[in-house]
Amino acid sequence: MYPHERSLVKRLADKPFALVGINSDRDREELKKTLEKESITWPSWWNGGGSSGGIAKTWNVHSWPTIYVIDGKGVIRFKNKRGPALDKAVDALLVEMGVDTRPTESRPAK
Amino acid sequence: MKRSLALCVLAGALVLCARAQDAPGSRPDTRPPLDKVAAIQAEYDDAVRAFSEAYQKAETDAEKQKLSEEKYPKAETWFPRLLEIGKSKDPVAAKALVWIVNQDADSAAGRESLGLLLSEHAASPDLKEASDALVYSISPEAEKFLRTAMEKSPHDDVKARASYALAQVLRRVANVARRIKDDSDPDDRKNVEKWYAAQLGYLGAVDSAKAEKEAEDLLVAVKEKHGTLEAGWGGTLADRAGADLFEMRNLAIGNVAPEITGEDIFGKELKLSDFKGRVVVVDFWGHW
Repeated sequence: MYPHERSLVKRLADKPFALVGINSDRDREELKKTLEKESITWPSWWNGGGSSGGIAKTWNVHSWPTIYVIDGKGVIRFKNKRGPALDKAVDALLVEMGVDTRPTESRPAK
Repeated sequence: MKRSLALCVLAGALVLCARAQDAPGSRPDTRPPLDKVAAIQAEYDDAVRAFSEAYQKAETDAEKQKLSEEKYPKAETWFPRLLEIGKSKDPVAAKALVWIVNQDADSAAGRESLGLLLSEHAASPDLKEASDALVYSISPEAEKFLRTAMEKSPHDDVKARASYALAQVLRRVANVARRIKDDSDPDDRKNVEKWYAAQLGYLGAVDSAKAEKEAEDLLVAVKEKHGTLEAGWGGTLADRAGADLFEMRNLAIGNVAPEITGEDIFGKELKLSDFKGRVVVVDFWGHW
């Protein structure tokens, strides 16, 4: 999961895109070490030290990871897309906003 | 005594087991005799315990993998004996069938057990646990069982738990049926078709929007009529149904995502609306 998330964040670094987590770990200090070790640079809400309460409860999350993709207007557009399908979903929403998501080298020369 | 019991099980000779337990010289057992299902449960628990001890002792990942593949106690080993009890007039017959349903409702024995529970034990309070066990099932047998329990059971708590479980089943069925028809994500479609290969006919006939509407109506009714009753995994049915209704009404595709506020891992305030104007992936995760 982390390598894919890292590459998604890196690939879309200069695009109107954000990856935000809601973390349900129990040990916050241990988690901070994980962030460093796994180069997790994107922000996450702290769910309060477990999976049972907090934001995860409001969003009725019972399995992890659970993923929502939200468009630029704040509308939920996809759920639980993973791997290449997640990239495709995000790219489609960026394209809707008129953003060119192709890698620089494959764009027509200006 | 444990060993003699295990050997008897291997030989499948229950009569001999009973004798071995009574054999002179064995320590007197003052505990009340277990009913037949509780005795099988104890055997199964012992097998799981023995497996986890061996697993913890295994030193390499390869050893662990080999153990998992070869020695993990498969519940279906016990299904034939339980099914036999389930078909008998034993007072724990319904419990035996529920045990099978709990372990694997979608197996052949599980489906047979569901049928027997309906035909022979329709008034049993044990249908409550069977209903809980079907929340993750996708099969016409599971749906039929829950509909019948909901309509015919004389017990309010069975009706309530069956209604709640049916709502969950309908939501899952709607979701999977939609994914099978979705051409935009061929990998997901292929996976789902593989996972539910045996149920493609059943799923193909599902009207997802209609199933979701029925699920929503069921949840509303459960919340209103049976809200104070306990849910299968703790909490009240009102809490559970309320959370599901919130998800269906506010977190479906096409809904504006509800605001999220709170502090991040480092204690800094963070709001979902801070990211407005951007495409946002919201990922519920844990490092475990």
